[in-house]
Amino acid sequence: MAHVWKRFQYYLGLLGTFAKYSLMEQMEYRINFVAGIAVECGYMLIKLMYAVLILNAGTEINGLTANEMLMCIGTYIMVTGIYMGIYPNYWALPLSVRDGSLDMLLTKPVNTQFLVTLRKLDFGMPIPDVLCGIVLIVYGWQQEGLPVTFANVAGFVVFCMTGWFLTYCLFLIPELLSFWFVSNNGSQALSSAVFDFNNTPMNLYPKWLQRIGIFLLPVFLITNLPTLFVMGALSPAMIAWGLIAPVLVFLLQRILWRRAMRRYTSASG
Amino acid sequence: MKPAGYGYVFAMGMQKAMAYRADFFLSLASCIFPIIMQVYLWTALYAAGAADTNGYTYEQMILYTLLAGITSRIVATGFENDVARDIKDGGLNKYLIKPVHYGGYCFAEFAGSKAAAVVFLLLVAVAVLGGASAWLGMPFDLLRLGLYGASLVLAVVLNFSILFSIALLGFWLTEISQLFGTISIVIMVISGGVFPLDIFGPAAAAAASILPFGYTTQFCVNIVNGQLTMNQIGLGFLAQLGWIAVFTALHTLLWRQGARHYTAVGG
Amino acid sequence: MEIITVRDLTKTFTYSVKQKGLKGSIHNLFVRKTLEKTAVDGVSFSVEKGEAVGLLGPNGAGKTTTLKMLSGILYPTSGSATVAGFVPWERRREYQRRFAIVMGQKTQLWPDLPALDTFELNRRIYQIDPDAFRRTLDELTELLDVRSLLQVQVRRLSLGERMKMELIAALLHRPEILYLDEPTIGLDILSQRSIRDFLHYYNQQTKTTILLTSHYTADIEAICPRSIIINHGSVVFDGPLAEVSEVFGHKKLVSIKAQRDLNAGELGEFGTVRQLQQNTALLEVERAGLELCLQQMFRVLPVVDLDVKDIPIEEGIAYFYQKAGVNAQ
Repeated sequence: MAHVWKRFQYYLGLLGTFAKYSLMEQMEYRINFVAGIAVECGYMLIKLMYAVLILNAGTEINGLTANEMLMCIGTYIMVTGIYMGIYPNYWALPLSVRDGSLDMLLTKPVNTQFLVTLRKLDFGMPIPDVLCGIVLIVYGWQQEGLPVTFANVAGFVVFCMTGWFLTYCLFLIPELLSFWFVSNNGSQALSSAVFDFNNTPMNLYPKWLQRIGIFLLPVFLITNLPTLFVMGALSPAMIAWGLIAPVLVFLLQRILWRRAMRRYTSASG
Repeated sequence: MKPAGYGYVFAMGMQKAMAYRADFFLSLASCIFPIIMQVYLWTALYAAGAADTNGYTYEQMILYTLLAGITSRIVATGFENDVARDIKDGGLNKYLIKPVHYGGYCFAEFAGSKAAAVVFLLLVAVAVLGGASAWLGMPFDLLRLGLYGASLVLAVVLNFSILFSIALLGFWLTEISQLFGTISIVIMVISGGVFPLDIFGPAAAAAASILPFGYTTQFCVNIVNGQLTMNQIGLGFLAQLGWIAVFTALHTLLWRQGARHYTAVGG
Repeated sequence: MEIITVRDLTKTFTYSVKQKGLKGSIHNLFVRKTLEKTAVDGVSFSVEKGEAVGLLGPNGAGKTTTLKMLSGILYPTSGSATVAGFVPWERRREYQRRFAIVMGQKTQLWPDLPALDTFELNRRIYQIDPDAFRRTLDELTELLDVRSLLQVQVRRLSLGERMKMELIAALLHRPEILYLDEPTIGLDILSQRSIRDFLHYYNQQTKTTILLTSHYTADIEAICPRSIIINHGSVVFDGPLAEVSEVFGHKKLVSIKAQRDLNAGELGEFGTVRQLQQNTALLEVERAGLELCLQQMFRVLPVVDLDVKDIPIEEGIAYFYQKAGVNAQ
């Protein structure tokens, strides 16, 4: 146990150093920093368009009120915003596979996935999303008059965290395909298209699609679970699944990661 | 370079697109999901009797969604990463020393890389329109189909000019390629590639008719789904040409300034 | 003590080929032909602890691939290797703490930050004790004369300065084994020399085992008492570089300068004429009859100046590069 705690401290220390260095780098390139925030604002406004459509409708759809749907959209905006904080690593991965700059990382006595996915942190892009997401969540929560208890808030936060973790794993998978294919623009486009189903809460979709999004490719857990939990609309089985699914996806992603590493270390020139 | 040379670059672009075969099929597949999502969104909203859509009927909205998904895929770019990389890594040097017009080179390669997908998507669009007239009772108008085709050509050129201008900002923004993914999604939406912008009220409709983006997607779709009168279509073509002129001037200027900046810094 | 043992190490890459033109592309969309290329072909050698060994070979000979396998970046197709008791490609943390690799074409430094920040990151990654870190850093910056550059952003450094920083970053955790892949590539003569001197001194002082690839024989001569020549994936020479020209050991080079212009006919009887330019010539002469030959020369020709030399190392190397090429075909 003491060993595990030490490892955890070690990695936390490294993460802190990465955060510091990334911030220092971003201070170097202030125009990039500002441009990143501006573009992210544009993206956020687009996600808000769905909120506008639903607010305009103003009625309950398949069991969710407009306010509850706002909370779902807010959750999605916030969680993907936090994901944008590590996006530079995902963006750089195919490149470093192609030009072989991954080589140096492979020789370090540190978990390679940790180095590859968390080395560069962006502090600008998450700002608009996180702020906007929180506003939507708080507004929807208050308007709907859902109880503000410790259990509710804690559950909401926990499911947001598992949602972020799912995003981390699910977006890594298409990037890993770059170990097999020279270009992975196609799989990136496909995965972001799949994620866009989260632009609206899943109650708008038919049951079969909901099941796919919950059990097969669990992207719907990200947007919907926190709100459904607070509404008390989750069965114990669903709560359990919400906690198990991220672990399963993580394991799957690790298998793929190992394969990718094996591929890199056996095929690259 | 002579026109024949650009033809060669066009063929190279086609080959490049096919070399990345997984990409080729996946990016075609990836335009299906947003369409499915939109269709269900509208079905749910109309079923709840709650769609405030500025006069679009359910059938029109579905048809719009399908055609916009296809159209935005037809005009979509992807060359901007190459441009940004050329600028950042000094790959531009090889164009600067050759008698090549860089923008023309990029356009030829971009057009070539799209050619195969465009043929396929156009067939899908015709099938969708045929299906719409058969089942939804929408009119199938050959004249409008022809005008749609013409507007697409201009839309592709316009979207190229817009994205090329943005890509040239890479002369000043070193990390711009990280943003392209998001930028292209934003542009797709404000072009009307997801839903018609006029459903967001008269202000949005006015903005869409003034800004250039709508003329890469929404305008083309509205020709063929019968939303626009012939008069409006004529004006739209003028707007497309006008915006192409504006952005061509803009990227020519950016190129001139950028190339100077580039050579001054030493690449 | 043997620290690196390599036995029959082999690495084969597969790659796909495409026919020319659009037709080829369409065909390629559905069917792909793959070919195999053997980059390293049954290489065997061993290195003693504290040795500095040079790996030589023409481009594409498999030197870098060998280094990458020894540092665990690549899995071999077959064969075995142990370094300090570890199998490199298992990538054990304990092993990774005991070696370092510096590649002339790749960097581990953060380009937008001063090198000192990357050093600090490596201190954390390798969990180096702060005092030991300070001491090592002081020593290395002193030796490489880069103290004043520690606070400068890496991308503002010259190529030579950057390579020195790469070396420091690699040596902070005091690795027992140091792999160097073209560490002086593209550097000016002064930077090359100071990096060379440093590596030689460091190897002598700390007994760190060095395995180095380079295209510059001067690097190898200065740092490595022993060289291994690899060509077409296999070892073709193993020994001190000075002995590489021993295949020509039975021959000497004689350069002459005469009072008048020379002609090929009169020189031909002494040996093979390599160069002839007016009154100067370069001859390849059998060592066995050298003395007699020289006496004869002085008698027959109006010699002003005469010099006898060994065949240069580069020619020995070129011989091995070509020889393996012939063997391979």
